[in-house]
Amino acid sequence: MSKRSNENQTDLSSKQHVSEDEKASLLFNPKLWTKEFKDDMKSTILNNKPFEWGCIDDLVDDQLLRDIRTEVETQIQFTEKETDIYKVNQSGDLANLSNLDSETLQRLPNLFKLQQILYSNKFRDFMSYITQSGPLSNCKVDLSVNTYKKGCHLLVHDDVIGSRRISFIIYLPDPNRKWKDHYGGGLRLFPTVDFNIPHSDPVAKLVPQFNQFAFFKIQPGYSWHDVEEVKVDKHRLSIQGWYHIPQEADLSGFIPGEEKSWLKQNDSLVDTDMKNFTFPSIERPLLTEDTSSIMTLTNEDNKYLSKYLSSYYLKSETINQLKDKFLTNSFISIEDFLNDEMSSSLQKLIKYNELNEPIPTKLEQVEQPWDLARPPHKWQFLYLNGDDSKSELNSELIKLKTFFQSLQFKKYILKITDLLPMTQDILVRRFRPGFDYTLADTPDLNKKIDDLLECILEGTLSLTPFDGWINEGNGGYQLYMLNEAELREDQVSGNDSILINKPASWNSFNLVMRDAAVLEFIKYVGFNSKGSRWDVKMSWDVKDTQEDSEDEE
Amino acid sequence: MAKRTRALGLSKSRKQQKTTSSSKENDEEREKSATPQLNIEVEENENADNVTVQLIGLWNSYLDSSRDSDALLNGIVNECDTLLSGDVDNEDLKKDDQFLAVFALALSELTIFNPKKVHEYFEDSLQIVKLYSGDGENDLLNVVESKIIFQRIPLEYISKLEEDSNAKIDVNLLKLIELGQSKFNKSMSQLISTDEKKYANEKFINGLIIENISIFNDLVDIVENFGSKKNLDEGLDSEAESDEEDGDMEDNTVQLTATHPLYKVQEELDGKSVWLRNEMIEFLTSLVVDTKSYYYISKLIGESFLKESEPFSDSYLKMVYDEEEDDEENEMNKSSIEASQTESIRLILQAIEYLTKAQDPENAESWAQLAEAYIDLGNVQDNESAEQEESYKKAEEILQKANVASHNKYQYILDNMNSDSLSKEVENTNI
Repeated sequence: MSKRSNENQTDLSSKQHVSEDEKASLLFNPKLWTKEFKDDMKSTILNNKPFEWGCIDDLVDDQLLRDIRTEVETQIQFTEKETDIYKVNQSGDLANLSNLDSETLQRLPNLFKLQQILYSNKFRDFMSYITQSGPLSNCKVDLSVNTYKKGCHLLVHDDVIGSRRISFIIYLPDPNRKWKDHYGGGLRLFPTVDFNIPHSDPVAKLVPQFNQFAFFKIQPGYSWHDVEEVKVDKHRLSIQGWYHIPQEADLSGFIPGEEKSWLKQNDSLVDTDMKNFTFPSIERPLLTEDTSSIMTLTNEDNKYLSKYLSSYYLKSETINQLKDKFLTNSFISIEDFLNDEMSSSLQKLIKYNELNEPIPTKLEQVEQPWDLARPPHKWQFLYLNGDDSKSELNSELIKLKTFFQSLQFKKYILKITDLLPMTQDILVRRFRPGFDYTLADTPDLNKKIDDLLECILEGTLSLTPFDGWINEGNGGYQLYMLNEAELREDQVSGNDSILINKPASWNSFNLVMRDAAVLEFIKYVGFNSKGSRWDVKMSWDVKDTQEDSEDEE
Repeated sequence: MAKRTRALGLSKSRKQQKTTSSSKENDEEREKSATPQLNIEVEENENADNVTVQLIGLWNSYLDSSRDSDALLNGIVNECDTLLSGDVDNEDLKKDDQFLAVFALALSELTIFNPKKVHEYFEDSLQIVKLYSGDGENDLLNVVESKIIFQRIPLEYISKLEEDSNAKIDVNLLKLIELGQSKFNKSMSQLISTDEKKYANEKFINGLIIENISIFNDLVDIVENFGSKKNLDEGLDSEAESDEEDGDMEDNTVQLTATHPLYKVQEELDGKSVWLRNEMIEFLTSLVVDTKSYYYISKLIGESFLKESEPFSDSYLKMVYDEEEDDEENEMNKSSIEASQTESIRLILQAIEYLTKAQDPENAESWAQLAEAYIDLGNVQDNESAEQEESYKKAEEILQKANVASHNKYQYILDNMNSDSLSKEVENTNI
């Protein structure tokens, strides 16, 4: 009797399970369950470039998705979040839909239904088959709701985090209108130049439509992608998620040690040597000039410096004030750094270029003397890398670069910082709207030369001629902030971590002594900004002359 | 001179400052570094030590700023308040129309930052205008009063209305608008008159007139779109084209009942737009050519003509390009087709005249807007006529230039224009 009862129970539970799966399958497009479709998808994904990805139109019941859209619009508050790599509107409490309390779930019944069917056995099996990814976890649900409004973007990354196996996105823009290519917001896929080095230009782009499901296999070193900036005032609503390697709590598919070895393999990616693929080079060789005799600024030096710099900043009194500030704060900001004549002639030339010369939009279009900084998961901008006497602007910018490389300018830097430059790297950069940025990084300290301070002295002369950089959300600002490790140590958070936030501007010079705990980046310049951010970035490895004098004492 | 300690680098300097300064000092320092340097611009022939001159300078700075903080406004209001209440000889200040103007303007502007005090601040600012004890009616204060009225209507009254608000509110909105119009109308001409330039600070006067124009322009827009659900979920996007799907969108204009407080205003709206345009045309004659103000006002005038042309263009395009009707009906429509086309072309040409004046050599958007007007013109000219070809050609030339300057912002329109189905695509394309 009891045996029969047990059997009955087992049967019932199994039927219930099947029934849930069957229910889930009814909410998907029936085409998914045909063998022909599955095999076609499997083959397409395998042969797709630049890595294994796929896309399914009309994935789920149209009404379900419309209801979810309404639910999201009426029930969820989004907050704009911005870091070096993205700008996106996230729903705080829905960062991960798996952790919702019952009250929230009641407000979002259709969204919860979608979560259930996406992680149902039937659909996971389908995904596992068409991507040939192996089993996918049922218990590790990883789903979030995002909306990309005008200006939102997510720069190049590979999604390789933890036990993620497949990335997927369901798009929910306005169901009654076609989302057009020029709205932006496309999912772009990048080939690799070499293992773990993405190319600067994407080779595939998906223009999102309502009820479209895009996905790709997470392939460490290869699955490089981004979300193109949304360029118009429209909402690109999406539900984004990941399927994970089966966990111990899963009923099936768990293989002891599988996740650990996956993580170990991915950890080794961090050590990929990027040196041969990084442009411009980040090496800073020892200066060949004899810098030991540059302690004093002669009249001749001042005469040379005044060709470029405002005479106000060459007065001894001003120099002393600047030095006081720098010694106290390790940072100074100088407005109207170049003299009026130089400033107005450069501004005229840069503006003319902005308004009359087309910008290169692909690596192959970048012409000498400019080059494209790459790889894009580190930075992307145009930089001067050669000579050109044909273009007046290029020629003037090269002269400006030569000026900042001069011994006289290094003497000036020494005067206002008490730091002796031992190496130098001067870059004239242009950050094109809709393309360019640098990602946050700690400084590359020079270990090849002895007795250097464990800091880099960095100067940035912003030469951005057009306005519209403050409060208009177009990025282009330079941010210095404490890195996370430092944050934990100091137990500070939020805006306390931001040390300097400097919008793009005209003729403004920042001088910063950056130590290893300070991250710096130039925020992605938005498509709708009036023009490019232009600047000259200077880096010097330095010796402390105060230390020397103390030693001598 | 400061001697650097061994703690070097930005992060360590910050940490050191944190531990050595009190939190108050830190806050002050942060505040100081966050507060932009303020330079008060004073006209050459003005006395920089005069308090009214300084207050006008501060007000002008506010107008030039991104207007996202009330710090400057509070500064102006507090200073004015102190002067007016503290000065035993404050009768002089009551005769100083510029002082009262800045005080009232700054106070009325504070309503933007203090939604709970909208009524109080508007009332107080009108009281300040009335404090004037100089000779006769004052043109400057009339224009200040019109600004307050135009700003008050949407902020204090329309903001409280629903589509179905039939309850009477304690003001007649149409009459209030007309009061503002009459004050602006007679005094603006005096203020810009070259015969008697009473005020040295031209920027202040022009800024005030532009504020009036801008606020009235917004008011017309608000009333026109009142209750409209159009694009509510996605926001209005000037850059998005109205495509085929948009063309099929249902008309979301809300019909107000005759008892609705805005009903009469909506009925009179076309007349209000024409009134504003005429005021702008008069004001434009006083502005220096090729200045930001000149471009801005020219642009608004051009847009106003374009808007007026829309129903004529729509009607013409519908009659000419929509499904064929029988001959008898065609014959009947022929005269109205011609009438619509003529009126549409007349208005678009006037728009082009002003949008040409609005061409800012450093603003590609102004070029693109002119190109759009040429496309509109081409659309209503006879199909495949030489005139139409010429209009499209001009549009394309201008747009190509704008596209380069704006890093390919208009590429999709150029692509549309160059496609085989040129006229049809262009017809449905707005920039």
